[in-house]
Amino acid sequence: MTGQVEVELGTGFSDDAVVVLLDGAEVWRSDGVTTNYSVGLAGVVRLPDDVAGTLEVRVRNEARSTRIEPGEHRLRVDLDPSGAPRLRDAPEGPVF
Amino acid sequence: MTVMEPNAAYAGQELPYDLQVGADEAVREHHQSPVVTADPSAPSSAAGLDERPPEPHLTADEVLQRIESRTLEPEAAPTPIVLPTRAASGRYRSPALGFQLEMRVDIDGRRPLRKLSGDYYSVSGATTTYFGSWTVDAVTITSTPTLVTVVGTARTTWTTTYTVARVTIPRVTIFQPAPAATIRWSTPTGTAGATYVCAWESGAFRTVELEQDCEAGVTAFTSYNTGSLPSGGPARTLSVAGAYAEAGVQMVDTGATNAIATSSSHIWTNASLHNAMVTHFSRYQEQSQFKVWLLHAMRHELGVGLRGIMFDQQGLQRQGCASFYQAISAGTAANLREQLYVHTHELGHCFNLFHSFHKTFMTPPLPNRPGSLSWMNYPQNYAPGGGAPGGSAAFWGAFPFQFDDLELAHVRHGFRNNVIMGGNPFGTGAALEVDNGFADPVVDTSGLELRIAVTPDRPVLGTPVVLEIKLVVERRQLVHERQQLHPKYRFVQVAISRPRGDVVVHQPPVSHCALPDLVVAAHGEVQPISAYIGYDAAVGQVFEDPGTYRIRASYVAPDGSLIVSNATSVRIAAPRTEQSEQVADLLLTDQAGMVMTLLGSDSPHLEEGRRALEVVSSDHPDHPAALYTKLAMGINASRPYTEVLDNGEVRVRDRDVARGENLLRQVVDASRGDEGVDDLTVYQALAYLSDAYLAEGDDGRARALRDDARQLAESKNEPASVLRSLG
Repeated sequence: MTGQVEVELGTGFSDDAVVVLLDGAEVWRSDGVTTNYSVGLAGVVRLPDDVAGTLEVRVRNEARSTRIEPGEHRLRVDLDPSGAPRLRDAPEGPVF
Repeated sequence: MTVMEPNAAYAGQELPYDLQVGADEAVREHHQSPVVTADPSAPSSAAGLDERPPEPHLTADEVLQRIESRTLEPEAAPTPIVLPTRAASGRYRSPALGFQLEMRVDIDGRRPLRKLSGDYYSVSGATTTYFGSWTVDAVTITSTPTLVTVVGTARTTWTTTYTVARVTIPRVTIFQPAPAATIRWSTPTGTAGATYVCAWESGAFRTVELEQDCEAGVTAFTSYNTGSLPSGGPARTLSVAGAYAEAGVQMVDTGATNAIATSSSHIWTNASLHNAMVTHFSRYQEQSQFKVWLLHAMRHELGVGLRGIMFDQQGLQRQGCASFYQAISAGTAANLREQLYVHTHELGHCFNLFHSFHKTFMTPPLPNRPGSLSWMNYPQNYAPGGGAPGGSAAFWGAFPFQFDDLELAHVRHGFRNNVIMGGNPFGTGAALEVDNGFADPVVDTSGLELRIAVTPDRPVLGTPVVLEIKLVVERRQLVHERQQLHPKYRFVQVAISRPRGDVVVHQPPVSHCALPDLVVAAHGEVQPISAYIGYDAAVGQVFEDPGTYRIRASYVAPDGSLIVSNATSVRIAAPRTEQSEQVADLLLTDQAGMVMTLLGSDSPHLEEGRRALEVVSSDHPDHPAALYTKLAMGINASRPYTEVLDNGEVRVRDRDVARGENLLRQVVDASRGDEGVDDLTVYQALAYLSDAYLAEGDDGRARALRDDARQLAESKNEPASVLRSLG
């Protein structure tokens, strides 16, 4: 788990195209991203260990970004009812 | 499709007189039967069921033990012994006559919700098909020493004015057989409706078959003593089945447990879980049924934090779930508690329950309930509000190991398709199955199967959509002749769920009223037909938006059996080029749709539509839709057109076989392989052209075309019914 960076794609996704960028360079992309409400997750994006820089998530023509330093990070993106993304630290605890 | 109303007192649907009399007599008999040792004035019997504290039903042995313990008491005063009455709650079922009613009465026993609910099934020929559901959310209960009466107003999934339900159940002791429940429907103004006498079936509101498979290396959970750690309820030993039994659901083990051999490092994905379900779940079918699969597994690709998932969210959903032991495999009390929680929780998703904190994402949404002490919450998300402590410790300390009341009401009394596995999609109330007549039959011994498929596979907007319909005969019997399986004859109906959210029960713009033409079909015979379904008499263009459309069909067999097809879907692609946009604009008009339905027309009233087909054929010959426009134009050219003029004269345009062949030949040649229009349409085009030549006296050309069609059909291994039609 050393330095692993994960971005949870959480609630509100429905057949969406999602792009994750690090310092402006695309590191992950997927179409058809849809939340499974039995776990409240549409997917988990795993980035290489100990990456650092500006992490940006683009969905529905909106982008949210945050600065990450080397180390372990678990972030989460949820879409609010209007479809606007919200990027924050992922909550602790198991999911089921 | 004729839909009768189960709550109304139709002459043909009403109970036979002798049954009705029998029912009344049964009630009267119970009224008159003295309850030998009961004291009519005793509170326990006369004050009404709702005043009794909820307690588990007593067995006969338990009652005898109580009686014996009394007789051993030192003061031997002649106290009358009051025998407990049998709980009225449970599931009842009427005979399978026209409509069959499965009724749930929830007025006593464990956590009574004071509700009634039921599902109607339409019995027709050799098929029994779900018709609709109703729920009475609040009831008035009155009881005499001999009878319980429950009254309330129902919500129904179909339109009816007979919404007032009055249920009567004789009160009997636990030593007597469970009596029948009689429901009488009426309108709010008192007009009498139908009556159903329902025999007692089970103390459970629902019965579900549960199959549990286990991955190699996983020790599957069996039970947990809820007193092992602090909790909010009485200590008892709970299995998964026990947890559901407390909710009023009987979980019956299928007994078909498999050990699934995987490598020690195996990591599951949702796709591999679905595949495992299809492979290992002995009860799996792509249809709605109260059957569910639970896999005890080790790890999932979403990570160690994932304890469980209801992965089945493709096709008919909610039929399977999995729990992951990676972080909770050690047999500590805390782990066993979490295992029980996760299993019950995931199966709750299969009943279409959302998380307590995700209720707003349901369709329709409900307020979130983060303070719910329920199987469906996350302990760490527990937030009772009002300054009370939340989080995991607070949750477990107060959790009574149960669903909350609203969830319990859903599981016990939700409309069938909102609850049943394989019913409405997870969290969604709207689906094709809502429409009457297109639900999966629950009993089907008809020996018939209806299969449908759409061509082309991925049409771009504007391309005509054709439905291939196949009736498969599994047992020798009379069926309709192949051509009469076209929806225009109305023996087959097609329903289309559109991305805009509505459901179109397809009404072909041209209907053929014909006497049934029945043929004896042998075992294994297949009757295929293809039909253009893009234009509808009621809604016009059916496929006028990009997106995914779900389609089902039903066939009414000569014996009345209702055969429901598989559900298929077609995704209409958005136009990506200027040419595609132009074709869509040309063909998605009412006139173009009507001309396609008619396979061409010279009518001046359809001039604009005919011009649209010509423009597509001439200006966009490479577009997939051009083959369909040429097909319609070619068919039309190959037949004469008779027009009645305003002055009453008749003008006939002769057939132009050469032009017809020129157009149809392009269609046929482009479609001999896997491309182009569907095979049945190709044969139809050749046969049509052959008939035209025959009418023109060119027998040789006619025969050559028939031979070509037949050889092509033989090369494609078409069934005998198709070969016969090609002469």
